[in-house]
Amino acid sequence: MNTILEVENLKVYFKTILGDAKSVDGVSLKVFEGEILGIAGESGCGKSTLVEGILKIYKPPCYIPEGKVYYKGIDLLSLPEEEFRKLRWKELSYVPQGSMNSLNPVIKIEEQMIDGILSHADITYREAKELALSALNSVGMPPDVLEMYPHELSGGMRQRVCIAMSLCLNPKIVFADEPITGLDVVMQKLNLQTLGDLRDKYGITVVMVAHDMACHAEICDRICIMYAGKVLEVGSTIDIFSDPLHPYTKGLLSAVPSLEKRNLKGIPGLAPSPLEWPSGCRFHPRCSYRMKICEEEEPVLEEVQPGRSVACFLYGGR
Amino acid sequence: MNNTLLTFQNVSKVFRRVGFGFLSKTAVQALKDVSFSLSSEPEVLALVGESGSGKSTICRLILGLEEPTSGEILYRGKSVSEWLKNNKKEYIREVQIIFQDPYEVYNPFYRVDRVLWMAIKKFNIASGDEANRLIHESLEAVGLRPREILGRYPHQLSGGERQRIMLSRIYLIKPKLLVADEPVSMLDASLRAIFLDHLRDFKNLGISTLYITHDLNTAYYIADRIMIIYSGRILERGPTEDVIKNPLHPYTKMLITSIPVPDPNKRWQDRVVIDVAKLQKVSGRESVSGCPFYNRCQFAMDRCERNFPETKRINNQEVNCFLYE
Repeated sequence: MNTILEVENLKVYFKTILGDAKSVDGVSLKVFEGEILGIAGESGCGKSTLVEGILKIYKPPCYIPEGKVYYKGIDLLSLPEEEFRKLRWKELSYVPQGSMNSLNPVIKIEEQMIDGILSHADITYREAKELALSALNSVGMPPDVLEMYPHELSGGMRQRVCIAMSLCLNPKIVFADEPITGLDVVMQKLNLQTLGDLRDKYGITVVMVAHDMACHAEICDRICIMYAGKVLEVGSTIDIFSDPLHPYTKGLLSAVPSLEKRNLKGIPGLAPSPLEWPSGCRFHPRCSYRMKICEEEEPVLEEVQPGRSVACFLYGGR
Repeated sequence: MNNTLLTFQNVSKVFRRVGFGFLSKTAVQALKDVSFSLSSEPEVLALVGESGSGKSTICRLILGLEEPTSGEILYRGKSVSEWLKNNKKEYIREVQIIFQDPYEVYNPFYRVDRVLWMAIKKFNIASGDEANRLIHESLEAVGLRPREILGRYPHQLSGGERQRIMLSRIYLIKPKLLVADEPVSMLDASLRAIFLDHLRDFKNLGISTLYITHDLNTAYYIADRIMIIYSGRILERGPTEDVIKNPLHPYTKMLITSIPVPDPNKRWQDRVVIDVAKLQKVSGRESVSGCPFYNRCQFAMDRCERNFPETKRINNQEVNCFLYE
């Protein structure tokens, strides 16, 4: 498997009057070509900020104090904005969170899609329309959609229009931030299948951010568990679900409601604040396997099995 | 009639737009012939449906924020409008609600203690030291430490804490009926389980809960009975275990097979195919006289379009579908 994107010790901070909010605090991650990578974690753990940092689409007071992102060997973060803009959409595209509500209600879908294409590619209107049609086709939407206004489509359909927009210029990687949140279950299933098709039919690499572990189980090849701005565990979906290593992953999985089991267990305690992460291992105040060393030292993300990394002193981590 | 707490008798609700021009004709049938009841024995009844199915309309009708267009809603044998006219305070004390959004229910200018003190004052629950003790007790009952909560402002607390303060308020008031409108949809998975456990424990305090949700998983977790609502009609109802393990209505079946299973070895084998042209037809909802699910149903027959099936009882479940006649 070829590494298509590599993130090295990326930090994304927000300046506040109380100090820096360290939303993403040293994340290292590899994305392989043609896979679906799921990024999971609770709200406030830095999932979305990580994606915004990788794509450099953050706004002040957000800034990147250090870190590197390599896409096919290109150091993205040191690229000038003009150069980076040429890569967005053509190589790396993004479906933002709640994008189904981002369509302009008084403009037809056609114009909105083509507007995006023309601002990134130097082609004629007619060619752009062809691209828009083929993108709609690849997410299983009929061509009539171009003639519609957003309100004529349901939320799930609008979300798929947004996925189609991100596909217009044949990107290599699609970043989808909570692509199915706020939809009813049937639409969720349809949209997850659409994301699965991107990989199966078109060989597009997908990075999906979602808080719902069950969605990850359905389509992801690998899962990366984030907590408090750090990656705690990375592994294949099968491994993570059948044998979660990190205590947080264990807790997260036992808290997933399902029709197959009627017992749920939450994780006691509260998520920490990005203004002041706990010392040592950031999960230690909520961890039931806590040792003395956890409060003092921070475990590093270490490969424990081939393709499986975890940051926890129970498995080394020094 | 006397052994039910809340009864909906053929309740319909139509929202008409008294507008101008082309808007004046729009009318939305939010509920059609909805009948159900909650028994006076404490129970958790889940009302499951997707967005726009009429769940929140039911909630608003119970609270008396809307009047039904036809049909009657009885609370302990008397209609809700009568309660609100004669014994408003008593009704409000006995019927309480938890909203979906724990961020918007607080006034950001006041400390969170206020929601608890207001409840105590409004309903004359206690005074002085006794009130203080009750507040501490109710916070502890939902797993919060009073010393970390009291005196704080809403923005200093997380969504999970705020939603649990709402629970402690319910504990304090001890209503007979609690309407919980999607109370966990904005909470993280790890807190969701804890919240639902507390909600379930309320049964022991004699509180019946109408749990309104779009999420069958959590409904399965806490409810004794489930009702499936679609486009203003109740399509299936019955004991939770039966409905989930042996769904009868095609819509319920579709819902259950669409839920992602948190197990990568049990991925979906089938695919959803949705005909966009068919979907658009649903939007003019008033004209639908038959089964609202007709457009999406794979077993749809001609008569499904014209008539709505009678309620059919099969074992413990009740279903409205021509497939079971």
